[in-house]
Amino acid sequence: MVLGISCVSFAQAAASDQAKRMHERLAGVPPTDAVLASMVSQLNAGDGVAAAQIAMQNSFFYNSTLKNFVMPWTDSQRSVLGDLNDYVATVIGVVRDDLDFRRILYDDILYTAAGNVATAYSKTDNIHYTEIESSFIDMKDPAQLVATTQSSATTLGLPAADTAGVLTTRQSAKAFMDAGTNRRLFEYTILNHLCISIEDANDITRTPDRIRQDVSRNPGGDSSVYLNTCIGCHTGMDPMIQAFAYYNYNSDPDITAIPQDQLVFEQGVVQSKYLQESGVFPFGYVTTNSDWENYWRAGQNAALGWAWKEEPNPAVGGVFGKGTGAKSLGREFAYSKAFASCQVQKVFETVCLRAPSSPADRTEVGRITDVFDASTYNLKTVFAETANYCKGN
Amino acid sequence: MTMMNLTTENKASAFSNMTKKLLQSLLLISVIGLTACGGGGRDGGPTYGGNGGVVTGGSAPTGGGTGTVTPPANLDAQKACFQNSLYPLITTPSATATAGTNACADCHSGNPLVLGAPLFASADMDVAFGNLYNVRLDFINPSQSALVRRVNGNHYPTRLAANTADAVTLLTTQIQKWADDCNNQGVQPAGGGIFSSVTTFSQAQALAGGGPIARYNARTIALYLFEDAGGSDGKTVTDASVLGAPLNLTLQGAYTWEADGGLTFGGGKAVADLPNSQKIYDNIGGPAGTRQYSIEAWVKPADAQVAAEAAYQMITYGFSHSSSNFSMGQIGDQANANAYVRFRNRSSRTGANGNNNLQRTVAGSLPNTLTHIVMTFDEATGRKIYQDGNLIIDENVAQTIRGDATAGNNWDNTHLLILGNEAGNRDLNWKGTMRLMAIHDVALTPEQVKQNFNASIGGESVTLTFDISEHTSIPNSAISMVATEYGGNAYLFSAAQFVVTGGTSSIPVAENGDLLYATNCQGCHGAAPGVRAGRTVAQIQAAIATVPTMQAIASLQALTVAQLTLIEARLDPNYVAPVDGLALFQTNCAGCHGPAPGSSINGTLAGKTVAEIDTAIADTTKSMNTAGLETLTVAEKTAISTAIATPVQATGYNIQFDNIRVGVNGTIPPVGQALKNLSVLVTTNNQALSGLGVVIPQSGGIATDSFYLEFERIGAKQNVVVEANPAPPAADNSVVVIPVNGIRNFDQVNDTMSVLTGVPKSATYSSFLSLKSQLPSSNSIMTFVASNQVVVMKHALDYCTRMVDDNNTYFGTANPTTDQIRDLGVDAILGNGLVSQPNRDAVRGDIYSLLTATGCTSSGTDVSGGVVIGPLTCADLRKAKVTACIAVLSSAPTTLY
Repeated sequence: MVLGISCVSFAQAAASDQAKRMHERLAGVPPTDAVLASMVSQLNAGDGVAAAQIAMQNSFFYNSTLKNFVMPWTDSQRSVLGDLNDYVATVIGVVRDDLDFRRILYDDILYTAAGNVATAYSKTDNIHYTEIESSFIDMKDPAQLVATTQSSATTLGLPAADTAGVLTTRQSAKAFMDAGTNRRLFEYTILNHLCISIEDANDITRTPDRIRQDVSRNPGGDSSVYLNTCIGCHTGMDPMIQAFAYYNYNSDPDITAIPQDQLVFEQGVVQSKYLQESGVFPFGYVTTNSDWENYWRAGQNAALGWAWKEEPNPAVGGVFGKGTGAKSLGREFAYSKAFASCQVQKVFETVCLRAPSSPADRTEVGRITDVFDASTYNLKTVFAETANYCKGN
Repeated sequence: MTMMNLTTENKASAFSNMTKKLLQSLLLISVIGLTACGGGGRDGGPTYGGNGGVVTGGSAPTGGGTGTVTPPANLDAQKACFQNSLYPLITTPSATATAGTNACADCHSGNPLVLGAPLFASADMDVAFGNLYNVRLDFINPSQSALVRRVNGNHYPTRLAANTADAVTLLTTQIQKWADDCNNQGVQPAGGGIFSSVTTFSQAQALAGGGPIARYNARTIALYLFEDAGGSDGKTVTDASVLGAPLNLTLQGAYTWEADGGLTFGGGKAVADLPNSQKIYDNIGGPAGTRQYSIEAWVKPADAQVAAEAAYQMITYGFSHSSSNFSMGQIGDQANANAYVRFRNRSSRTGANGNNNLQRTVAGSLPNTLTHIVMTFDEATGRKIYQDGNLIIDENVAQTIRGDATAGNNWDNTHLLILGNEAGNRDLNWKGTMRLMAIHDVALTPEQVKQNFNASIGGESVTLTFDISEHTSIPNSAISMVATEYGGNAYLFSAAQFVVTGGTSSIPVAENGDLLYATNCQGCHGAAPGVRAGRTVAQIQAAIATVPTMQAIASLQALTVAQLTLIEARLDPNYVAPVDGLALFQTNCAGCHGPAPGSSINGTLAGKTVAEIDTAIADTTKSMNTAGLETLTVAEKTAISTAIATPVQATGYNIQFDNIRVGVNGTIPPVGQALKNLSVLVTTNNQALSGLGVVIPQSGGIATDSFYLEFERIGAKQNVVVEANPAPPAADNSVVVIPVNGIRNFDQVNDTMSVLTGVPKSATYSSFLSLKSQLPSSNSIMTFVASNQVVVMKHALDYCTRMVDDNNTYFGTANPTTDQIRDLGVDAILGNGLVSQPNRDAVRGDIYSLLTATGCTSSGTDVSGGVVIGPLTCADLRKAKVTACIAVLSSAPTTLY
C-alpha cells in the first residue's frame, strides 16, 4: 500500500512536470494552477495531445509562439526581431481558425485587425500591423484578428486569380521582391516552406533552357563555375520563379517608374527585372510571360515529393508541375510532401528546441507528417502531437 | 566495337553504314541471348535508364547499346603524329620537286622573316604545328584541307612534287596518315539513337578556309588574342591577323598576363615599332589606303584609374599627346561611377590629335565588366561607337583623313600603335584587362559588329554542320550551329539552324519562253509574238547591245543565250506552249510525295524515268494505280520526268525536331544541354531552331574534341531517352545529442515576467522595445551569453519595481511583508511540487541570506525543511522587496524552460 501510494505520487509529479513543459513550450509562459491541473488530468488519462490543446488556448501561443515561429520566414535576414506584418498575421490567423495550412501558399487570404487599431491596412506601409502589436491586440480572439482577402479593394487589391497566399503579401514583396530579380522570393520560399536550401537543391543535370540572360555562363572567366555550380540552382529556380514575372516591389524613391513601397502587379507585363542585363549571355532565356515549370520533379529533387497524395484534378486546382502565374506555383509547393514535412520539422524545432536529431525523432516527424495530412493540414494538430512527443519523462 | 577510321568522304553514308552494322551486331547479340544491351546507358553519360524507346520508321535500334570510344590523341601526341607524317614532307627537299627548292620551307619557315606567314614550315616544329593544326587541315576529308586546296590551286606545287596532282596526293596521304595515327577522324557515338554526323573545329575551319570564321575578319590587319602569355620572353603581344606582316607589340612597364587569357595593364603599355606600325598607315590613311577603319576591343577596365588624369588611353596610333591618328580612350572610372568611352580620329574636322571628341557622356556607361567596343570611321559619315554590339553614338559628318589643305589634319605615317597608353611624355596610362583587340581597314557594318560581339572572346569560333540527311531523307540537310571556345574550358553552341545546302527558299519556276518574254519584253513590245515575231537570238542580242533604253536595263543585259533561245522560240508565229512538268507534278504527285521532289520523307522521286512512272502507275499494289494517273499522256509524263530530273529543295518541309543534345567525343555531357527540351517544327530552309546557347564542358580541347548531335525525334523517327528515377536519399541514422532544455526568448521572457508579476506588458513596453534585441533571440541554450542575463535582470527590475510599488493590485494589501513577497514569487515561478524545479525551501533560504546580507535583520527562528527563512525586519522595505523579486524573476526558473 505504501508502495502504491508512492508510485501514484511519482506519476502525479511526472505529469505535472510534463504539463508544465508542454505549456511553456507551446505558450512560452508557466501555466496557472488551474490550467496545470487540467492538463495533468488529460495526461493522466493518457491523452497528451488533448493536454497540449489546452495549453494552446493561451493567448501567448498566438501572440508570441506563433508570431516568432513565422517571423523568420518573412525576412531575408531570417530575423525573429522584425515587426508584426501581414505575412505573419495571416499565418497566425490560418492556424487559429484551423484552416488547411496549405492555403497559406496559394489562397486569396489575409488577416487584419477588426478596426480596433488606429490605422487601417495600407498597401504602402506596415503601420496597421505594428499597431496591432503595440496595442496588444489579442490575435487569439477571432473578433480582433479577422480574415479578409488580398483581392479586396481595401487591402492589396490584387486580382483574385493572382493571389498566392503569403507569397503575395506586402511583407513578402518587401522582403523578397525589392530590386533584384525575384529569385530571392524563390530561394526563401523553398527554404522556409520546403526546408531545403537552394544550395542543397542544386542539381546540375536538369535542362538549363530557362536560365535568363542575366546569368553569366562564364563567371570570372571560368565556365566550369557555371557548369558545376550556378547552373544547378538556376535550372530549377528560373523556370519556376517565372510565375512571378508580373510582380515587383520598389523601395527606391529615385525610381519613379515603379510605384513605391508596395506590391506591384501588372497583368501581362513582364517586369524589367526579368529582362535586365540581357547582354551578359545573349543566348539565354527571354521571359515573355508568367508560365512556369518545375524541372525538379525529375532528378534528385523528385525526392521532395511533388503532388503528394493530390489528385491532379483541374476542377479542384490540381498541380501539374507547370502552370501560369503565382497561384498555381504556390499550389505546386503546398501540395508537396516536403511542404508538409517542413512544417512538422519547424514545429518540432520550436517545441522540442532541437532539429530532429535521432532516428526516433525522424520517425516521429514522419508519423506527424502523416497525421498533418490526415488532419487536412491543421497545424495546431502538429503542435499538439509534437508537444506530446517532447513532453519528457 | 571500335567506331573509328572513317575513310570515305561521304561521312553521312558511312555513318549510316556504321549504324546498320551496329544494329546488326545488337540484333545478333539479342538472338544468341547475350543480353548485354538492355537499358544499360551509355559510356560516361548521365544515369539514364537506357536509351531504348519508341522507334517508328527509323533505323535507330531499340534497347541500349555499348561501344568502345577512342577519342583523338592529346596535343603532345598530335605533334608527334605531325612530325611523323606531314612535317617532313613540307620541310624537306623532294627528289621529284624542282631542284634546289626546300618544299614549303623556302617561304613559310620564317627565315628570312619577310616571307611567308603562316609559318607552318618553320624549323621550330612547335611553331609549324601551331600554324597548321586546327586551321588548315581537315582530317575527315584530307583532300579538302585548306593546305591541299591551296596547292591544288597551283600554289607552287612543284616545290613538293613533279606536278600538281602528285603534290596533292602527297599532302593528302600524309594528312590521312596523321589522322589515322592520332584518331582524328571524329569519334562516333556509341549505342542506338538518332545521331547526326560527327564533326570537329578543324573540319569546319578548313571548309571555311581557315581562321575563326564566326568573327568577321576578312579585312583584319591586326588581331591580338592575348593567349600566349607573351611568348618566350613574356613581353611580346603577337599579331594573329593574316593580312600582311605581323604587327607585333612589345610590352613595357607594369602588366600581367591572365591565366585564362587576356593582358592586364597596370600602368605599362604595349608598343609597336615604326616599321611595323607603318602597316596601319599604308592600309588606311596612306595613298593606297581605304580611308576607313575600325578599332575593336574586348576590355574590362579596372575599378580605379589615375584620378588626376582626364582620360586614359586604351589604344592609340600616335606620336605624342598632341599628334595621333586615332585613339580609343576612357573618361572617368568605375570608382567614381562616371566612366565612358571616347573616340578621337585625326581628320579635316579636327586637329593633329583628333581633338574633336566623339563620346556618349553617360557617366557609368562603361562598366568594369568585360565590354565589347568597336569604333568605326569612314570619310562619308565619320565616326561611330558601338558598345556590346549596339550603336551608342554616330557622328554622321563627312570628313577626310588625307588630302586636306591643312597638313596637320591628315594622317601621319610616323606614328606608333600603342596599347595601354599613348606616346610621348604625357602619361595617360589605362588600367584594365584587354581580352581581344583588332584593327580592320574597313568600317565594320552594324551586322559585322554584332557578329563579332556574338563571336565572343573565347578564341576559336566556327560554324559546325551536323549532317542529318540520313534521318530526313533530304540530301545535304543538316543542323548548323555556331560553336565557340568559351571561357577557356567550355564550348558555346548557339544559333542552331536547319539548313539544306543547295536548297532554295522557293520552288524555282521552270524557265520557258512564255515567262521570259512576259517578264522581259512584253512591257514595251506587247503580247507575243506581236510586232517582234520571228526575231532571232542574234537580232535580240544586237538590240540589247545598241538600243539605249535596253542598254539601261540590267536584267536584259544578264539574259543568257539559252534564255534568248527560248524567247526566240516564243516569237515563232507557230509557237506551241510547252507542257509545264513542274505544274503537272504539283497537281498529280505532290499530294503524296511532298511539295517538291526530294523534300519529302515519303520518298525521293528525283531521276524517275517515264518508264518507271508507268510501272508505278501500273502496279496494282500501289495507290497510284487507282489515282486516275493513267490518263497522263506520254508528253505529260515526259515533262514531269524532266522537271524532277534534278532534286529541287523547297519550302514546305514538315519535320519535327525534339530534344537535341550536343555530344563530345562519343558522350553526351549531362550538364548544360539547353536544347534538351526543344520542340520545333521545321517548315523552311535556314529556319532557326532556337535562340538559346548550349554551354558544355570541354573534353580534350578544340584540338581533339569531336562533336555530334543526338535527337529524340527527327520527323517520324523517335528514340525517347527515359531518365531513371533517382535513388531515394539514404536514411539518416545519425544521433546528435542536444540539451533538452532551452532559454526563453525575448518575448517569452517578457510574457513570463508579466504573468508572474501581474504587471501588464503595456506598462513595460517602451523599455522592452529598447531591450528586445539584447534579450535572448533564440531558444537554444547554446546561444545564451552573460550579457543576456544582465538584460534579463534589468528587465526584471522594471517589472519588480512596478509590482512592489503597486502593492494593492498584486497583493491585495497595502503592506505585504517581505516574507509574503518572497514566497509569492517563489511559489509562482517554481510551481508547487515539481521535481524539475529547485527545492522550494532551499530557494527561500537563499533569498533570506541575500536579504540579511543587504541590510535586513533576522531573528533566525523560522525554519522550513531545515533552512532558516526568517522572520526579517528591513529598514528599507521597498528595496528589500524589489531585491527579493529580482532575485527570483531573473533566475533560471524564469529564463530556462
